[in-house]
Amino acid sequence: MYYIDTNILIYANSSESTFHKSASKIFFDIIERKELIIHEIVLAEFFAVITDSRKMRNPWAISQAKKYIKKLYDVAQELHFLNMEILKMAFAFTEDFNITRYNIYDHLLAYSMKFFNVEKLVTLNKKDFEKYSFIKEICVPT
Amino acid sequence: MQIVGVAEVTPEYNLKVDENIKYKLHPGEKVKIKIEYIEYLKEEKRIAALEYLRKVSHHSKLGLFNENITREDAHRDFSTRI
Repeated sequence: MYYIDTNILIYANSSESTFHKSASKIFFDIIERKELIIHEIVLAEFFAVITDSRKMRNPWAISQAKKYIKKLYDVAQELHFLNMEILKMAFAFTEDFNITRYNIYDHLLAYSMKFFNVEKLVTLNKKDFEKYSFIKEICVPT
Repeated sequence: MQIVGVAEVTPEYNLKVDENIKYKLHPGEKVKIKIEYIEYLKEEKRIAALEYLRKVSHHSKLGLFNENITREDAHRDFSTRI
C-alpha cells in the first residue's frame, strides 16, 4: 500500500507539466493495483492548491475540486486521519528531526505512516522524507 | 466461544448479523470481531471514478506559475496572519 503526496496529485492533473507523465503513470498504476491510501492532510492541501489562482493560471472551481475529491474517495482503498496517538508520537520527535514551519505536515504524514504501518510513499519531495527510517520505499516520478 | 457468520453493514454503519447467529447474541453484549473478507459492492463505482480521474488528468491544464510545487504552497497565505 502507498501513501501519495500532494504534489503527485497536482502534477497528475497538470498535463502541461514536465512531471505530468511520470506522476500520472505511477498514480494510476497504484490505483489499478488497489494500493492507494489517501491522507486527510493530502486532501486538504490538494484542495488548497488546486483552487488557488495565485499558484496557477487555471485553478479549478470549488465544485470541480469537490467532485474530484469525492472520486478519490471511491478509488482509494483506505482514507487515513490524524488521531491523538499520531500527534503524540509526531510531536515527541519534533526536536530530533528539527521540525519547523511547514515541515510539520511532512512530519505528521510520516508518523501517520508509522502508526498505520505503511512503508511506501510516492512524492517528489524525497529529501524531506529520507530521514524517517520507518519509511522503507520512497518512489519519485522522474 | 467462537461463532462464525456473516454480517451486513447497514447505512448507519451498524452490523446486521445473520438470523442463525442472532439467537446466540444479546443486545448490549460486547463481542470481538475479526473481518475475514469484505464483499466489495463498490467495484463499479470505483471503476467509474477511475475513468473520471483519468479523463480529468488528461485534459486539465493548470498553468502552474511555479513548476516546483512545495508543501508551503498549500499553507502560505499572505492575506492572513496566524
